[in-house]
Amino acid sequence: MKAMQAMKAMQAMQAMQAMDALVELSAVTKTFGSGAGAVRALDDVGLVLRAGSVHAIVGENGAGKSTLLKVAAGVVVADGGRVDVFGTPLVPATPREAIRRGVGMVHQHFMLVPTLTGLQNLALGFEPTKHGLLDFAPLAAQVAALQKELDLPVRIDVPVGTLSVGEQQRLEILRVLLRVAGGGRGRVVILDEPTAVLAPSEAAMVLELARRLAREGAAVALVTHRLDEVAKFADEVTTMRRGRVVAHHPPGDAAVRDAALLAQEALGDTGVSTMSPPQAADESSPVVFAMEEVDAEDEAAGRITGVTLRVHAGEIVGIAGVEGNGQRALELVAAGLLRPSRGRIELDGADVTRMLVRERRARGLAFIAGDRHRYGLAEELPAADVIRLGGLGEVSTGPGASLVDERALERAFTDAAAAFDIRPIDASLAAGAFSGGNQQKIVVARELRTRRGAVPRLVLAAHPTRGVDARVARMIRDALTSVAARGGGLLIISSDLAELRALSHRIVVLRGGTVVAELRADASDDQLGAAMMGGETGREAHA
Amino acid sequence: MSHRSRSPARLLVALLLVCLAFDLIVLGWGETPSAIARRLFSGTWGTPYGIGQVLFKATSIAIAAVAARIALRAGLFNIGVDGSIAVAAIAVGAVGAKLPPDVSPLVAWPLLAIVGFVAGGLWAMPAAVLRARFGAHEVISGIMLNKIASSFVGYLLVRGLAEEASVHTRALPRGALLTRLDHLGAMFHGLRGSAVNVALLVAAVVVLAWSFVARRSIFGRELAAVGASPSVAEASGLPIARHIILALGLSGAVAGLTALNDVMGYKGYAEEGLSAGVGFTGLAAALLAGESTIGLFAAALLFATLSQGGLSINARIPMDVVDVIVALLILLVSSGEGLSRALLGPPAPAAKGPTSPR
Repeated sequence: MKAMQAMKAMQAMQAMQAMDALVELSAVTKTFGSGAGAVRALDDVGLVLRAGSVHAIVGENGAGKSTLLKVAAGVVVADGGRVDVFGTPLVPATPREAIRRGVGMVHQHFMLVPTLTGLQNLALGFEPTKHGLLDFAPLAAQVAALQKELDLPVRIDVPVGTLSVGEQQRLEILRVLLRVAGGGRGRVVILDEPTAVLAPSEAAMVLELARRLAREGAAVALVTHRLDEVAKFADEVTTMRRGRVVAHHPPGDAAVRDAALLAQEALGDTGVSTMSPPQAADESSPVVFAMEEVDAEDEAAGRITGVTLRVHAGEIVGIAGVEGNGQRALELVAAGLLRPSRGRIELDGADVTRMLVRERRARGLAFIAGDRHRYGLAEELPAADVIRLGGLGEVSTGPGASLVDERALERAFTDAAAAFDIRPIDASLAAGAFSGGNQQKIVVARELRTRRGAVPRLVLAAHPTRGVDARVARMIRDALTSVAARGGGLLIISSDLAELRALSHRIVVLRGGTVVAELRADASDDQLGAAMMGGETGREAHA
Repeated sequence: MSHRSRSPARLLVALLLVCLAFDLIVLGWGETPSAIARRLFSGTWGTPYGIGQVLFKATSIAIAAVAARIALRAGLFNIGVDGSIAVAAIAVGAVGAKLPPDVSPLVAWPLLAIVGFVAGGLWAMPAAVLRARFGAHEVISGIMLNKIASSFVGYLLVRGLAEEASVHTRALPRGALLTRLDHLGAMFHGLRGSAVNVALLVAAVVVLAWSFVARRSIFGRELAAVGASPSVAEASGLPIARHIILALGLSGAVAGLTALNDVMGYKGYAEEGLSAGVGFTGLAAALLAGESTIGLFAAALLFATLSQGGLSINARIPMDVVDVIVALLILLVSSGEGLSRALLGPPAPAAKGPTSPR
């Protein structure tokens, strides 16, 4: 009798386990490009996403994490291997089919129309109609219910362009949940670096949501570079390196909670960097960049009011704040992409208020844009052209220096690739074919280069290490500090407080588009938090 | 997705479908496709005269295609090529008619080439400046300028440019006419009667020169950056307004060189509607060829063949069938990615890499 019961229990458990595997990838391979430039993004990779589990995928840039999950979501078609969703192969391998089966992915780059409201964005592609006319009421009710159920605050009645990055991301998550909810067989939610662009409080909100979804029976896949998040929120971990799985830690494995061990697996070394605040800068050195009482406003970038700040030669000034408090407007005004309505901007002693990016660059501005796709790199150009975008004149030859010296250009790329470990080292490959982290390295290498032996006078860098792994982040931070050591000034906008603290001599806090505090780098978390949130705590601050 | 890549398989599929469509249309008209096709071929590549005519038409198409390609490089669709061609033709005709009767070709040819170049370029300026300074879409202003150009040319002819009791300018002096190829020596005698002239060489040089400038010069590479992403180009410090004006201006200017072929090589005077539509055919050839140089020559020859062949089948079937074929070909090629995937399966992995959503 007892044996029968035990057998039954075991069968039930096996059945459960089989059912638990909502998505199963096995022996998946994927190669991008062909010939010498071919990149093996995935090499015989397996992955199981189980109901009720938050599965973290970690690894350095270009390890294949995003590609693997895009295969699971039907966004990328694998060259070989098997993709099973709820026990049957994913055919056809398209995002539409994946969504129909309950697999949705929130991408690194949001796919929202900035001029439409949140609700209109949610409706895009499956607009609700009544008698042939648009009828948003039922959808609005459905969204409200879902928001309440999941505790997911987003304003859905204003243009998406006016939302903070955190809100935009929650909107994306809402959209995915709305679409995959249909099947009722449990759902699969894939989050590709959801926290890379978020302030700590917003990141926590997303991760808690991931946990909650898993508790309700969803399978959640999570790509992240923040191993402390993994240790805190994940149930199981898969580590990837160069297109292969190097380790899988099932639920309950102690390694899941061991950030140092995971870092070692992912990077091949103890990638946990020890960041320490720099020495104080010399305040008597000349001012290389100044904003005086600057007002500016832009529909998409937000607003700044009466902003005054200075950067001295050799000084690193950090800009902190909850995302959406004027950082983007500040970035664009400082770069020369947004014209201020009031105030004065000086670069290296000259009034540059009315000058365009081009003229400011000629005066020593380097610009690492926060929005890489819009301002940083053109995906269809070959990497070689991108590494000297706007500076092809530095590798000129022929009559009147009108031709491109192809060899010098290729050397410029291979030098940058060596300095920043850009992979693959293929100057002719389209920039868009590099992984996100490697694209960032290309941009950083270009902006921080010395021109005729001179370092930039001012480096304006927004989120310079966003989405890159710990090792590359350290590389980029070292490059940034070395500019300061050689007399350049730096203005760094970041949502990563640890990074700002490690890099900056001074931290300027923006709230509601104005400078509310100026703190020393060794200010406490409480001081910084209070300045950013305006004394309030919790999540009201995002709205 | 862009005009940049054309896989041979895709072109082959498009051509096969076009042939199929041709068969169906001809059958629908009650004719035999093979007979019509034979006629089309014998009227073009079948005789030396036919070949000469194809080459003559290909000359203007190739020049117009380069004009279109210059703008495409910067991500601009210069539909105003046709207007630039019309204005350049009348300018060359007007200036050419004023030259003394005994003018030397050494003076007349370069002078009139410059006139055509400048006139075509100037005509593109309004669209260029509107685009660069105010963001007005170059297709809209280009279409408008085309209309204005044809009215403007008619007006000028009526208002005194035209010879008494005619609708064309006075004839160009002998020294301003480009040598027909059949005058160049015994080996070209077979071309007799066809209008093919030394402008063919100009077209070849223009195609090759732009291919070089586009690929190797800093200007050409910067144009590609502007075309790939204007916002990235601006943030990188490229002078995008200047580059947009230069690209559209140079596009119009090169288009103006078609006057060498049509005015100086063929008619010997300018008239309303001479070379009308060549700009659009050139655009089509540029789109079909992508960035390939050989492809551009091939596309120019293909469209020239169809255009000349249309004349020779006109007795049996309306030559409009050729326009239908050309339109189909453009549609098939520009929608080619989805189509060839449906027919041939997924494409070979391109250098484009992971399809990151935008």
